[in-house]
Order: sequence, then structure tokens, then C-alpha cells
Amino acid sequence: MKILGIESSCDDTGIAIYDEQDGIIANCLHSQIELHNEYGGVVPELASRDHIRKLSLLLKEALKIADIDKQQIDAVSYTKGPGLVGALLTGVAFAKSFAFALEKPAIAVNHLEGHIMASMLADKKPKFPALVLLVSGGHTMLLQVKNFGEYKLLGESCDDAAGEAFDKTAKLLGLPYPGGAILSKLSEKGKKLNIKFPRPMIKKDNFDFSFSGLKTAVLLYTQKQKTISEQDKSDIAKEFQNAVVEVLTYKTLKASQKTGIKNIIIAGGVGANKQLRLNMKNTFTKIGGEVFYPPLKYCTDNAAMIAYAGFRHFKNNNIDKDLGIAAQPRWQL
Amino acid sequence: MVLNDIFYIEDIGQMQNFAKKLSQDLKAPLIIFLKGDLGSGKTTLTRFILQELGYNGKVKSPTYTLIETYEFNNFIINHLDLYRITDPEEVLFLGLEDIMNAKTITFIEWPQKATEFLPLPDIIIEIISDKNNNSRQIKLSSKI
Repeated sequence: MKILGIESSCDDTGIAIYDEQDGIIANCLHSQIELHNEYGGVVPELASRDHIRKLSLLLKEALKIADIDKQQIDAVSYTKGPGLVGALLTGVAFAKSFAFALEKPAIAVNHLEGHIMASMLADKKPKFPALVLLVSGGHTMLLQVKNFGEYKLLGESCDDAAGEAFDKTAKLLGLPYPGGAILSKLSEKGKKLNIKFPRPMIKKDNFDFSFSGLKTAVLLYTQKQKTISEQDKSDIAKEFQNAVVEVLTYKTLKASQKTGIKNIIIAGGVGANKQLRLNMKNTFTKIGGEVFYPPLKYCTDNAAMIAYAGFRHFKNNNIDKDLGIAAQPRWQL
Repeated sequence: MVLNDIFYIEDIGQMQNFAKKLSQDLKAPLIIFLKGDLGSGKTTLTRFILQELGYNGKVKSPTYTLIETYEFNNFIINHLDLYRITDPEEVLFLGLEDIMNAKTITFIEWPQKATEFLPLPDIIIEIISDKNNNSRQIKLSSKI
């Protein structure tokens, strides 16, 4: 059985194919491959949110990589939300029309469920029930997952997402935007800073996060310095990262103590952060827990996770009942 | 609200007061540009205004999502952030004309990223943070 997945919720356009036996057999993202159009030329990097010009090219590429004919696809899954309405609608219209033409079912997938399910594409598959720390440029949330399809939101960011805080702090230090990953790299050379940045919300008795003030704390600190050397930047990066990682780990630990769940899944782009992975692993190994991650390439937005989640829905016969084309920009899990 | 004025904000409480005063004059339809560096408080100011207007939920930064929408009884607030726009043409793919109408008040952070594709603002708010302390200067120019 083969499921096609389509992702277009924000910046990235992606098409992937999941095979029940072989796993992901094609995973195409517009940002990662050079698209050759039918005239043999390379399509230049277009405005990043222009999904419409990329989808059919990506579909051809995905079928070619998987080495299958479109008739071999059993269902078409797509991201229905949450995301930008214009971006979502492009993918929804494409997916539903393609499924209709193939006379195969279409399957709506929640983008956040996709991120959670990406961990199932790893060699070491997570055990449920689990707590999911979903941390990316757009999301910071803590979820309780009983099983596939059963999610409960425990807490989320009140302002900036963790990844956004990384990217903006990087910019404050004069790094290119988005520079969250560069900031983490820089922090490896960091020594102890003479001040401690705040650990926002750590004292609040809930599972919500806030990273906007931490960014401003870095801004104020850098403004007060006469000069900032490369070493200073590394020191600031280290202290900033420590603050974010400590808050994320602490809140996840609190949620674990409250729910009694010790299986932890770290999903989303920030889930690739080494310090976060290390800190979470140390913390949860100590209490007899286990930490799971999606493969690195499926941490950021991608269509493979949508294809896999679509496969799970297909197995449950949870398919679209109509031909309507609708996006759900604010779809809660 | 006075045309072209400068407000001096010493702390977060004064920012809240400024939001309170400003929110009393906000009637749809409106387009408001919000200018100021990273960390100057554009999203914080928008959050205070939303709270003054009676919204109780979370006001998340729209930097990644680009648009956040808040529905009130008889108007809608759009909160946009164009910081991540690299090509002004991308604004066309956001479908702005579909989200702005007679019932909307639209806040746009980083409008300078795509000025040529945006409608003219009714109000421009510029927040300038002082390098020596945590105070702010808010420049307000409006034609309402």
C-alpha cells in the first residue's frame, strides 16, 4: 500500500510517498532538490510561499524517485491545517483534485499530528502513552498522547516559539536570519557568562512557555556592552541556549511527574538541538524514562510525516467523505 | 488621538497605559503599521491592545505563521508580521486583500519588507528602544 503526502502549510512545499512495507520511498522538498521542468531547465528559487508553481513538479519528482506510476498510489493525504490559509488551500486543492482524478480517497491530516508521528519513522519507535515536546519556529507545545489520534494539549508558548527565540537572538548577535542553528553551534565555544538570563515561566505552576522576554533580555544585555567580541557572542549564545533548554526540560519533567508518563518524544525543528537532546536524555534516563526523536530530516516541515499520518488514518478508514476543498488554518489537535 | 505625537514609555505599565489610550480610538476599518527593531515591543504592544479590547487568550508572535487572526463581536483583528518575507512578491501569496475589509483592524509588523505591495496605513507606530535603559519612545502618526 502506498500513500502520497502533500505539505504546504507555511514556507515549505513537500511531496512524499510512504509504502507500508518499505517506509518512505520518496521525500521531496522544494528547498532540497533542484526541480527540472519539462523543458529541462532548473526552476529558480521562487518566492518561498508560492506553492502552486512547485507542487506538480515535486509530484513528478517524487514518482520518479519512488519509481512508481501514479496509478499505484492508494490514497492522497494532505495538510489541512494549521497554517496560512492561502498556502494550505493550494495543497488542499491539489491533493483533492489529484485524488479525484485517480479515483482514490483523500485524507486530511493535521500538521501537528504529522510532527508527532514523524517519530514513528525512526528506527527506535516511540512507546505510548507519551509526552510530546513539540518545538519549532512556529510552535512550542507540550502534549499528552495516549495513542495515535488521542492528543491532549498540556501547555504552549504565550508569545514567541522556542525556535523563533533562537532565530531572533541570533539576529541580535549579528548572525544571519534565521540563525538558530548557527547560534547553537556558536554556543559550543561558549564559557560562563557573568550574568544569568531569566528562565521565563519556570516558577509558574502550569505547562506554558514564554520566550519573548528572554530575547529582550539578550537585547538589553548586548546594548549595554561597549564592544562584543566573538567570544562574547559564544558566551551569550551558551547562556541563552541554557535558559531555553532548562525551561523546556523542567516543564517536560513537571508534566511527566504530574501524568506519570515517562516516554518522551521531542519533535519539531528545535528537536534537533544537541543540548536539548542531551539534557532531556540525562534528565529522563535518571528517572527511568526514555526519550524518542524523529530522524533529523523529518524534524523540520516535510511531507513524509504527512504521508505516514495519512497512512495511519487510511488504516482506520478515516478518509474524506466529500469533494469539498477546505483548509482549517486554526485547526487544534 | 493626536496627530503626530511622541510618547515616552519608562516601563511595561506605561506601555499598557499607552495601549489602553490607543485602543479607545481604534474603529474598523483600520490599517496600522508597527515599526521598531527586534525586541522593541511591537508584539507586546499588540497584545496589550488586544487585551484592552477584551481578548483573553494567548497572543502569539506571528513571525513564523505570518498572520494571526482574532475575532471579536463586530470586528476582526489581523496581526501580521512580515519579518521573514524575503521577496516582497511573497505578500501577494498571503491573500491580504481577502483578509482586510470594512470590519477589520490590521496590525502589520515590519511593513518596510513589502511596502510596495501593501495598502497605505491609517496609523504608523514606531517604537524606538533606548540603548542605555529599558525605556521606549513611541512615535505615532495618524490621519484619523
